Amino acid sequence: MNFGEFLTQLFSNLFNGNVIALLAGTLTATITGIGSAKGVSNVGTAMAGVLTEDPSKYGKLLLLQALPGTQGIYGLMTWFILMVRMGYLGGNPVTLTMVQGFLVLAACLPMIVVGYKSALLQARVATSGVMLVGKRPESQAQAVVMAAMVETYAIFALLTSMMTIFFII
Amino acid sequence: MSVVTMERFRLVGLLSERREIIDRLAALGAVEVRADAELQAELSRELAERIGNGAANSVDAEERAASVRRELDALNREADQLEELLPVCQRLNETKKGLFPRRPKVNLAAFESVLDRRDDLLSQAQHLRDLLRDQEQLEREIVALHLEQQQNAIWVDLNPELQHYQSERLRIVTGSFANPKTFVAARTMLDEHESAAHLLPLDYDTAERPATRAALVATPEDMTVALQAVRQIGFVRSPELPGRFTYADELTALRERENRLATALEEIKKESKLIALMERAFALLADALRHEAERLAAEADTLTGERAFMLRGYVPAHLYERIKDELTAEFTVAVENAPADDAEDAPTWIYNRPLLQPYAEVTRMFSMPHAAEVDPTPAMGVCYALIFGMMYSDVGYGALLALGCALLLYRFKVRGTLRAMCQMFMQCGIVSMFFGLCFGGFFGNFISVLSGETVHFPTLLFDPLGEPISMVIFSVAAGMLHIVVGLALKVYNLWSIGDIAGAICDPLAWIFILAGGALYLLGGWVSTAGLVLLATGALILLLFSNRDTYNPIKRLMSGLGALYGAINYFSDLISYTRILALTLSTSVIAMVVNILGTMMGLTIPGVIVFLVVMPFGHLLNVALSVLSAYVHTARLQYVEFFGKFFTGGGRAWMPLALRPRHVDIEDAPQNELKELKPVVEPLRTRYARFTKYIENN
Repeated sequence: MNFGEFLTQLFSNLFNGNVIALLAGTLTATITGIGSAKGVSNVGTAMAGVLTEDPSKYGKLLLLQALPGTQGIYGLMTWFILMVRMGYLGGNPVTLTMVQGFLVLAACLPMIVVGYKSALLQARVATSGVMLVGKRPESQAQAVVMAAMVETYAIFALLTSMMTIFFII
Repeated sequence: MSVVTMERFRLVGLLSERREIIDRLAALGAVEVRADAELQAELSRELAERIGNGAANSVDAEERAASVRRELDALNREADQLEELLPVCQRLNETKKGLFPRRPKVNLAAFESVLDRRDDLLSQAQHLRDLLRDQEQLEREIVALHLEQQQNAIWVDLNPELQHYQSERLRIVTGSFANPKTFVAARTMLDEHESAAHLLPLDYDTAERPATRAALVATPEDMTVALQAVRQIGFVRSPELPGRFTYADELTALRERENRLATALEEIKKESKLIALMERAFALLADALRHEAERLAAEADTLTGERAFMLRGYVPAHLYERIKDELTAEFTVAVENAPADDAEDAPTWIYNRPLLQPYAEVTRMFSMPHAAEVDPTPAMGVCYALIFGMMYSDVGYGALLALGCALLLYRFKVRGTLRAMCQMFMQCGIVSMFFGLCFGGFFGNFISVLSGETVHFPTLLFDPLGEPISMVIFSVAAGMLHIVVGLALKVYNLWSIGDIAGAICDPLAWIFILAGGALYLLGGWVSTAGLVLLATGALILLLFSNRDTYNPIKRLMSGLGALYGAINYFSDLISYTRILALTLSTSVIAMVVNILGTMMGLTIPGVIVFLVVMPFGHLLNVALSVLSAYVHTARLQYVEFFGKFFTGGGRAWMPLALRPRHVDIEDAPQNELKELKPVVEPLRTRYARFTKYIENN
């Protein structure tokens, strides 16, 4: 086997539809997870400041901290649905063509991009909400709903990604 | 749709009885006291003219207001300070509070009489604070003494002559290094600089006791420089001894001092524990002080003359007679009621059937209905439970939620907003069980996984994961129904206030369009009927959305603008696809938990993993899913549903009442009044009041 043949074999083994689709799925879970981790930590930092003044607000604020964490869960869901549709969980994986692999990558893009960015933006609103609840504890519901408005787009991205995966595989 | 009829309330009584009357009103908890600054100023002017000292009177009024503010601040501050002591008392009494503690029950007389002990209890509280401060100080001193003893202990075996060596030609300073290496480094440094000072080890270097103690020997002239040099390398002087004391004497003295301090500390702790037994009295006083502040504010809101006072406010119509009877039987008062025609200021109290009343919390979080609006609570409550149920759809999770809430309600007897939320989520849990049956969810796919895919939980409708398109259609259809209910409420609202044309030309037209569109998609003959309905709605909008002009071009332009609003309805409908996303989120995470829990099979480690992963994973999923469903259902109500018919802006009714935080008052008359069924005011009457107010102003 000469070097050219070796490269061809290597590429045909490494770069096939399944690898690209799996990469897309794991990237979705990873990047949305990073976004959520950043978001949750940002809100947590603001929360700690408020708690130094009044530790009894912990329960009210915890809800706000949990909100930017959902994008990470949506990423995990996308990955899981991909695993189910590709048959990895049943132990009988389907073979995807290169094009199908790239289509899956395209399907995962909305969740990757919107999930990451919306977690950060939602954290920003939730951080302001933490300040609001710190001053006016009765405004907790408003603060939570305000932050949830940002999540709408993460939900739409999840739907887009999921439905596209359902249509492709 | 139940807003309670409110009436204006006026009471004139003797100034000498004002406090008792206000006490009584607070115990009845049915009258909201409102200040009238203008009327008070006018009354003060009149009084001043009569007495002939206008300027002094107005100064008096200002001073009085400032003194009331000062007194209110003082009362609230005292209550805050008492409340800060409560956790300390709990710690000292070693009482286990639990997550949802039950409040102690007291009677009204005890609640009111605790103020007689105010000075005594406050001085006890101050004494406890002083004791805690002293305790902290003593504990700090004991720690410092401990450290001093440790430092002295290492020098106890030092030759007593060295401890107090005095000579005119030689100085000896003892001290220690952190380790033998620094000692050697210091000695080498002195040698290298050919210093006249010498560093002598005081111990043999052994593994048990490394040679770290040393004596610096030098002439008085060289000592200062040598000491400075070795200090830089880490030489720490041995503690100084007072007088002719040896280290052993000093150590004994320190131990004796520590013992004395420890005894004092024990005394302080005992005394603190004794005062902490007054925890309940402190809690009661904190509540009484806050109530006193509220009562004082109400007193300040009354109009005062020379011998009489007038109190104005609002009372629910069904309670007026009862309040009147109670007051006239006990005091020299004149009481009257009148329709609440100042709609801008009149407060709102919404009342619904017990099943729907908890959802009033969700309405209150948004806003109270204003004078010309329906109460959205009943319709919103039903929709809330249904949408929550769809998002959270799982028989197992629904049962867990309902049971958890029932436990909080009936076992821990939680109160206030938490009680309303628990009642609400209990209902939502039950509805979730129904939708769990529809979509075949019991802890996700628990039954299928456990039975090795041989047995499946029954699915009445369809599996959202297997048929996502059906679920999208289901979600949007649910959304359409929700929006149509909102529009129907708008029709009812406009119809009730007499704007029949408005009801037909806007919300009803949109109902035609939405319903027509839905029927058109069904196909068959229904499709034709749907098309007719859709066209009728569109035509109404096109021709009658602007009814203020007869200019056909202007009308058509406005009509086209109104039809463009269809895009908003479209985006609203799309927004309901979140129901699908959250349904899938609940079931997919449950599936992940089930797979993780059963992945090691029927082995001993497998069973252990199963027992750990299953409860933890499913409880985590319950928490996450409840949070998501709560937040997103609220959003659908506030934005998509309320957006169609409800703007809010009403002021919640806030009567002068007993609102203790730490105790329950068993025999408060307000408990009895709460049982009386309110009189509900029809929207038409309420709106008539509102328009009358607008016309008059």
